[in-house]
Amino acid sequence: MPLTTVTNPVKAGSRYLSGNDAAAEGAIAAGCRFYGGYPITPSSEIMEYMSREMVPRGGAFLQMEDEIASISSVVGASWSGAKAMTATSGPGLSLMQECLGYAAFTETPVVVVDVQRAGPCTGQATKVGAGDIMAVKWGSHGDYQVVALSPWSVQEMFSLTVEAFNLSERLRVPAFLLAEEATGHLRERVDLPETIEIYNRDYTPGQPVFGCAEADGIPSMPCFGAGEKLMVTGSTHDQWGFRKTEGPEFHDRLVRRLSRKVLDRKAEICRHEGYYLDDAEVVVVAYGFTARSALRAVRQARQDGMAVGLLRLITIWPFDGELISRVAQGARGFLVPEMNLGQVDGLVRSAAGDTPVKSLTQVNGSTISPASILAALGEMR
Amino acid sequence: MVLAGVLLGQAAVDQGLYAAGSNSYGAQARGSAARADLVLDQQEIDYPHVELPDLLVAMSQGAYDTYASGVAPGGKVLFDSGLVEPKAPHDRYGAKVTAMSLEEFKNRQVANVIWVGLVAGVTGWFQTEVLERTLVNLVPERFAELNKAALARGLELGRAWGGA
Repeated sequence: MPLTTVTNPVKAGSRYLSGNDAAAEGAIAAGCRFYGGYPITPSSEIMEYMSREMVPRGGAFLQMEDEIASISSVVGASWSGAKAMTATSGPGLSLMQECLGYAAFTETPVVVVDVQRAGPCTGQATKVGAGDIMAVKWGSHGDYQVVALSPWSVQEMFSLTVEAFNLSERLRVPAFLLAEEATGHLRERVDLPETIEIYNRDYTPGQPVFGCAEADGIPSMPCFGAGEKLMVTGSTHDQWGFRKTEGPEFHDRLVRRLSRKVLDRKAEICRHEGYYLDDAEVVVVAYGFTARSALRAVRQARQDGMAVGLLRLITIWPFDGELISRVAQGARGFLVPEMNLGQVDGLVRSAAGDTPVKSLTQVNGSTISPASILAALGEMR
Repeated sequence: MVLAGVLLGQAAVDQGLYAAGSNSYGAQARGSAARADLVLDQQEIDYPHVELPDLLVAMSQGAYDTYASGVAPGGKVLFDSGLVEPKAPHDRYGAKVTAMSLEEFKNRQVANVIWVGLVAGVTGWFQTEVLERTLVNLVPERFAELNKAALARGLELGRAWGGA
């Protein structure tokens, strides 16, 4: 079985870790054995950690000349059979976009930890933001799907990094950890397990590498050196990897399958948590660090007698619009606080039907306080 | 100072508590007004940033002026009485810690560890042996004895305050 339980290779038990260190340990626990990167604030501690740990654990570490080369090295390492990752922040993510499209189109498992800072552009390098929600999904051209997970704690910097690897390997897609500076640099108690479930990619010798009978199938993935006649191209290709840059049916079938292999599995992929939703009239939809401010605000509002709840999105991409639609049926309104100008807000609106959606945005380089969310809830009374 | 926050957070976790810590980052953490925050709880912490501190350690006048008024009613403000001019009601817990680090330990760097001892002594929230073990794990071996002595000095002063 590709999903196996292994002994956690990093120290189990209660520990006091920074978010960035926890993400690095999560990667090691998931089986990552290649890190290629270029340091950038506020993600650099992940690279520092991996520079120390990859070689002693039998892996490889490369500091590349920039982020274009970094993600390219990660794609190459993945095709050589390694679970591979990089970490970056907004400006680096922008440079990676062309090759992320290549990874999506060639169905290459790669994990990118994006520790978001205040953008756009160089912005405020040491300050927090959450402006890359759309960039990880739509940054490269054409239609494709990715997985993106949003950690709200140091514990999840570990566990969702493991999950990003598992989903990336299983679905053969780029998977992102949409972290934020506030969580990357937060130190917190984590309780790390003794054993861990990891997914090792499916490979059946002799099978097509880039296609299968099912319209939403995920093909077997060999690596270079496994003995297959292996061709990897960013041009349209048939199931064996031969370039097919003319026939309309090849392009149509491939592009549709790349989306369907993710979207048809939304029910298995998408995760969320609900707090006080049963009788909630107003529902805060939040993710990442902001969800912690929201939980505090919701608890305070409950004490003040308001029927409010929190829907915390753990999976951002694929976006679970059906979940929003279900919750909307019992709600009088949604509040969507974000450290951007309303990126998830638009997604919520598209699924909320007639339920009104209020956006609370903050782009000043600091986290949204519980008091701000409480005030916005008060206005929705 | 950042180390003091990490030390207290690590010690809290080592004795079974929940801890969440943040500190100044980047250029701020190097030579200017730096700050370390710590939230402690017996249960999982929902919101990890400090909102209304029960305890403030002000190692400079700037820190005192900025943060003392934001301390929770009944909360404690500890300040370096060699560097800070306090105002009532935050004028009770003063010690010349920076001067003490130079005079008694010939090392300015241990001031933060004296403060850790003071915090532990005055609050009673930390187990001495856990704190000492955590400290030894965090500092270079050749400075272990120096730091243990600084911690003990802070604990002694803090306990005197705690009982006052």
